[in-house]
This record gives sequence, C-alpha cells and structure tokens, in this order.
Amino acid sequence: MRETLAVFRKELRSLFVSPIPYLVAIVFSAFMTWFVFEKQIFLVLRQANLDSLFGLLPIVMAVVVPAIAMRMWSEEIRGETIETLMTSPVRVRHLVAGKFLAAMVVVALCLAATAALPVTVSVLGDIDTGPMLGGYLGALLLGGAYLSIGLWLSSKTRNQIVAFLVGVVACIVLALVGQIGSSATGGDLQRFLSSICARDRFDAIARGVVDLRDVAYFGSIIAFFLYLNVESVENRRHA
Amino acid sequence: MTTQATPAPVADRTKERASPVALSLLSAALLFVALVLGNALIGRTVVRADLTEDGRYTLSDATRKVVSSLSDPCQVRVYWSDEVPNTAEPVRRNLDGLLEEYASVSGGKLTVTWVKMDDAGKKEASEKGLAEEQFFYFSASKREVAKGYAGLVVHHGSKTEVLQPLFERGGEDGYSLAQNLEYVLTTTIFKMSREKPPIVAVVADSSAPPMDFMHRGGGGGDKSTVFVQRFLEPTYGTALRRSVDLEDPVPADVSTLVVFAPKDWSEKKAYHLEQFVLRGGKALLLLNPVDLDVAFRGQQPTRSGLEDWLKAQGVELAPGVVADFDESCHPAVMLEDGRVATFPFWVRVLQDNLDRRNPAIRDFKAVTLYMPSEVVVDADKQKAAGRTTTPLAWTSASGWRKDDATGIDRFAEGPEGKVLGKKTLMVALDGTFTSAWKGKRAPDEPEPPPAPPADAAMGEPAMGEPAMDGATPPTEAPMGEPAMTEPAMEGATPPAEAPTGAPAMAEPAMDGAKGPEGEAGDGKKPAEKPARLDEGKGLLVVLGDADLVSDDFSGGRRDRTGGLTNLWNGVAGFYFVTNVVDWMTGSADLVSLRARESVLRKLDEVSDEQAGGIKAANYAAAPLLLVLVGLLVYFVRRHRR
Repeated sequence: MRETLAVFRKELRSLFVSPIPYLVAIVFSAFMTWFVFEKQIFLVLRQANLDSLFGLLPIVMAVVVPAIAMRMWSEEIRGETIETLMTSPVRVRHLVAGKFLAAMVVVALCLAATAALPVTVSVLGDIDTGPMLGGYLGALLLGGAYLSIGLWLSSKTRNQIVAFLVGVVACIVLALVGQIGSSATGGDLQRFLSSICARDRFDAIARGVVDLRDVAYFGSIIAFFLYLNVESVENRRHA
Repeated sequence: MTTQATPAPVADRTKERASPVALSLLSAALLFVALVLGNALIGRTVVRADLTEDGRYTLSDATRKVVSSLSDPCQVRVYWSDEVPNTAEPVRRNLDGLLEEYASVSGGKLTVTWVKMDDAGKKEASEKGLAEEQFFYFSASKREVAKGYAGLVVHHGSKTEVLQPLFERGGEDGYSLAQNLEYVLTTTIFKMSREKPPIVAVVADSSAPPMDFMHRGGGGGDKSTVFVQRFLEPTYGTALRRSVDLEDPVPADVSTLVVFAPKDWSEKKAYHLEQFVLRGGKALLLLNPVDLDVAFRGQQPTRSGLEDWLKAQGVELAPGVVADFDESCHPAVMLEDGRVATFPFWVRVLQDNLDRRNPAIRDFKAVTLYMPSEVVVDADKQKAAGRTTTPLAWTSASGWRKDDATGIDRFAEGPEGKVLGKKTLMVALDGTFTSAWKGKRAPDEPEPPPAPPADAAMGEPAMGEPAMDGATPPTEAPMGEPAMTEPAMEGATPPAEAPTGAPAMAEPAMDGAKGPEGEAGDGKKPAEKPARLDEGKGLLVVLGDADLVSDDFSGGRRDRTGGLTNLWNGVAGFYFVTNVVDWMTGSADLVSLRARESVLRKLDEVSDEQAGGIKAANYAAAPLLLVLVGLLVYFVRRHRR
C-alpha cells in the first residue's frame, strides 16, 4: 500500500505540473455546460435534475478518459523510462495501481468541474440529492472502468494516438453495446448485451439506486483490465 | 556394460515451461471466468441502497404490508416477448428487480414466473387477455416498429388480473417503467386478496330528466345510471350500494360514499354525511350548482343543502361558474345554427393541472368538467383544524370565474379585460373533522321537551323520554320494544315514511341491493344507531362538478351532445371519478402509496437576463477555479524549491 501511495504521489505530481489535466477539465466542463444549456435548453425545460448532464456523460467520458490514460504508459515506453521502472524495487502491481489512482484524480477533477450545474439546480429549484449523488458515483465508477481499459491499451503501445483512438473505440463499444442490434437480436442475446453495457449500468446508478450488481460490474471491469495492465507490463519486462 | 544415467535435460525443461505470455493469458482467462462467476452469483442477490429522497425505488411500507400479509399464494406471470426492442431492456431489468423485491418480502407467498415466449407463451398471453403492444426502435438509422407482449398477469385464488402497459414512453425511443406500477400492482394484489371488499355507497338524488340544450326534447334518464352501471359495478359488484338515502345514518359497513349532485338536502342528511366522515368514512362530493338547466334554461343554480356544513369545515363553492380561456383547455362546439364557437365553461383540465402525486388521476391526459364551480379552501385554516389540503384539479393560469351563470349560453365570453388565474376545482381534505353541530342538538335528535310549566306536577315520566316526544305517536312504536331506544321513532320521521315496526334509518338493509320496502316487517332486529361523534378523522373530496359522470355527457347517447362530448372527452370523466373512488376505497396504507416519482421538480422561472448570467457563471466557474488550483500548485512547488 505504501508503495502504491508513493507511486500515486509521484504520478500526481508529474500530472499536475503540466497544464494537460487542467485543460482537459476545462474543455470537458465547457462542453458539458454548452450541451446542457444550449442543446438541452436546460433553463427552458426547467427540470430540477441533472438528467441532461448524466445522459451524455457515458459518451463524453468515453472520449475524455482515454485522453487522460493515453500517455500514462505510452510515454514511459517511448521515453524508455519504463526500463528504469522495471529495475526499481517497486512491484508492477503497485505501479499500475498508483498510476490508476493518480489518473482517477484527474477524472474526478473533470467531474468536479461540472459542479456549477448542481449548484445552479439547487439554487433555482429543489433537487433530489439521491440521483445527483448516484450520478456522480456512477460517473466515477464508469470513469474507473474506462480508465482501466485506457491504461491497459496505453501499456500495449508506445504511440499515444493509437492508445487514445483504440481506447475511445473500446469505451464507446462498452457504453453502447446494449443498443447494438434491434428487436431482431432476440431476447437472450439482447439481455446479455444489455447486461454488459456500461451505459445501462451507469443509468441504473444515476437514477439514485446503488445496486451491488452494478458496483460489482464496474469493479470487475476495473479489476480485470488493471490485471491485464499488470500482465502487459510484466510481459514487457520478460521480453 | 555400463548404464548411463540420463542427464537432466535442463534445456528441455526450459522448453517445457510455459511462456510468460501464455501464463499471462491463462491467468487472465481464469480471472475473467472468476469475475463472471462472481457477477453471476451477486446477480442472484438484491443488495442495494436507494438514495432518492422519497425512497422511490424501494417498496413502500404499504406494499410490504399488503404482500407480507398474503394468506394465499399469489402468482405473477410476466409475458415479455423477444420482439420488445433492446431500448426497453432497462425497463425489463427494473421490472425484474421490482418483482424480485415483491417476492422477497412476501415470504414465499408471491412467486414470479417469466413465461418463455415461444408460440405457446404468446398463445397463453393472448388467452389471458394481454394485448400486443407497438414498440419503436431504430435499425440502421431507420425507425421501425415491433409488436410484442410486455405485461403481467396476477393470479390469486380463482381471480386473475391483467396489468398492462408497464411502460412510460420518454424521449424518442426511450422507455421507462410505469412510475405508478408499484401502486397498480399492490392495489391489484390488495383487491384480489382481501376477503371482504370495501362497501361503496352511491347517494344520487333522483332528478327530472334533463333537457338537452342542443337537442331539445332529447336527453333524460337518471344522471348516475351510466356511472354506476358501467364503471363502479364491475369493480365493486355486490359491494356496491346503489342508492343510499341519507335521511338515515350511513350503514356502518359502508367505507366510501359517493354523493352525486345533491339537491336541497335537509340538515339531517348533511348531519348523517358528517357523522359518516367523523366515523372515519371517505366521502366524495360531486357538487353541481350549475348544470345544463342552469346554464341553458335560465334556472337558478342548484343548492345542495350542504353549503352550511361545508362552510363549517372551511370549504366553500364560490358562486357562479368557472371558465378556462387557455386554447387547449376548452372545446369548440357546433351550435344549432351551424356556427362553431369556443366554450370556455367546459373546462378541460390537462395533466399538468392534476395532482401528479395522486396515482389515481395523474395519468389522465385531460378530463373535462362541464360548467364547474370553484372550490375555495384556506389551506392554513385547514391545517390549523388538523386537516391536510390537497388540491387535485385546477384550471390553467387562464382560469376565470363568472359570478353567475347567466348568459353563458350566448357563447360570447372572451378573456378580454378579465383577471385570469388558477381556480381550484377539486380538493381533498384529510384529517380531523369537527362536527358542525358540536354543542348543539343534532338534526336527527328529537326536539327537547318543552320546559315544564312551573306548576307542572313533578315526575311525569313521559316528558323525560326522548323517544316518546309528542311528534311520534306512541302507537307506531314496535310492540315489545322500548320506544326510547328506537332511533327511528324520533319526531322528525313521518310515520308514513317509516316502515311499520322497522326503523329504516338504522337498517343496514337500506342499501340498493335490498330496498327498504322489502325489509319492512321482516322481523330483523334493528341495528343500533351509531353514537354521535363531535370529532373524528376522515377523508372528504370535493369536486365542483357532477356532469362529468352524468348521462348527458357520457357520449353514449346518440344525440348531438353525446356525440360531441364523445369526440371531445370520451368517457374520461367516468374513469376519472371511478379512479378517485378506487383510490379512496383502498386501505389507509394504499391511499398513502403514491407514485413517488410524480413529484415534478421544477426550476424557478428566470428572466432572459438572469438566464444569461446563470449561463455565464456556469461557463466561467470551472475554468476560474481550475486556474486558481493550477496557480496554487505552481506557487507551492516554487516555494518548496
């Protein structure tokens, strides 16, 4: 745990000395604000909830989170600093966990950058805090799932752009897999696709119900891809 | 001959060892399988936290009470076709979760079966009475329609109920679980499982056949006929008393009273209504000061006789008639001369103007009230009296009340120069009611004996006997029964109206199923007159219109009024009142079981200037804060160096 925290602090420092996380958060917040106020005509519909924000979040995060994750390993590989890391006494799993947690702080920062909206809703109306908390909790879990995929893909290539593009595609597929097909898809397949659809799971939490099944789903994705990340880095050491 | 020991093949061993990549893949595959199994196991459990303020996604206490007290097995069979598009899949999951909760709180009494929807399943669905529904979805950027079954059938004993639809459509192709599904399902189970259904009594003053203003010479009939026969009877059957007369106390077994267009009621009737409410009864008053006769034949507004009593309870029906000038809240009618005119006094109450927390009425897209009256209630005074006030229906902001009903038949009323505003048309009062006769003699009590003259002889027994007052001839008292205990023997009951020897007012047999005449002299022991109450908790619902459940506006008659209202309103009014009755007859728990999602949380209206400021603040807040955080990090690092 101590090792993980040490890596986390180091990664956090290196992340926040660059303007990138701030820019990502600002662009993310500006886009979400534009979408909510201009496209969803938030002040015209006058609904005291954050549905318009959370409705788009799974898709926007599918682009933003891979952008945060793309450089986490690719840059180490490209700059060959990964060799130094491999020879350090820190275990790979601690490296992966530390990087993941540091990147999660950036994801949380992006989400926090949308806080003006719930504040607006609270001032202008009577917001139900349950769905709001559920929405942000779901967004963190969804961000964690996307991030673990992005980190794994980042560890597979030295090219950040490739990591980003493949990450975006993977996250969007995960978000929309429940919508693939039509009624002709058939019941069982449809049910299966919906059960692995991140957006459906996120929507379930964003309505204000934290179900162990949904948390376990996101936890499983995070655990699985972080494990693949560890294995990927280990394999690089053995190669 | 020497035997050489085979050297350990070091190189071969290395070859045999699996490569790290293969091991890595294997371990990843094992982890994947473990996670899938773990998720499958967790999928069988229901562990969740409902964070919503009103516990919207958690079964209410009422549902838990109803389901956990099931005495016989209850089966819920779900019919969900494969054709239902995947956009509705979250609904299926929510439904599954909801039904799982029902099953879990029932202690094994309620079982849920998802029927396999092959040909046999579809046939069964059809036989049970489920209808195929249309679902819209996008396929390759094309909007398509699928037909499929999505419904529930509840079995309890020999009873079967179909619940459909389960959806609410939202957005282009989005579906969500019907918000009042818990209410509907619980109410259904409650109705099916209760051994003794609640008794509903209808009090309808018989009236002369009304004239049809558009078809003079047409019309007629008992105003309540359609309502009772077509709408209440199927639900309540033998538990429906068709015509209770409030000249007598309401029978003790009646739980809900529907008072239809009362006319010139005596104090005694009002008193009996009041005592019923004080005993915990639920009364729905459909008051109708302005009907077709008043509006189009110049008659005076109808006096119900309940005005004073209602006033004592803090409720008044404002004089005149309410109009709604909002374009979508009134119809255009065709006049006899062929002209088409708008008629704002047929007030179309839209869904937004119905209490969205009340599951009985919230799903109505619109219901039309015909020449309604405004119900005036001071909520603060009601609260001080121990009652909660819930407006159930009101006009749009373009509502207006005309002080009298004269001249509305000229179809010339417009909003110009009038002060418009929302007018309450229906209200529910729930809580403690105080008798309007508290501290006074009740109207059904005998006149107190006149004060004895100063020189009267002391100890005359007859003077002190309430039932033996002078207005009641002693000869009419049933033989062998002490007259003083006979409620029917009071002076106000004319002997001619009371069946000989049968105290009609105390007879539960006064319900429609058994006419009072039929009961005369049957030798039954009369039921005791209920004790007088000065205070009690009850529910009173007041609606400023009764025409919505009158034959005149049923749309069923083949005259022009019927045809017109059929186009305009259909039978929504009948369903509306039936739903309200349904809601009122539920147990106290069911009444509190509402569609909790229905609370529409709205933002305050803002001016364009304010909206601009809010937008700017939202755009600027995050960047400013992030820049500040960035600068802070920068200076901290610089300081450390």
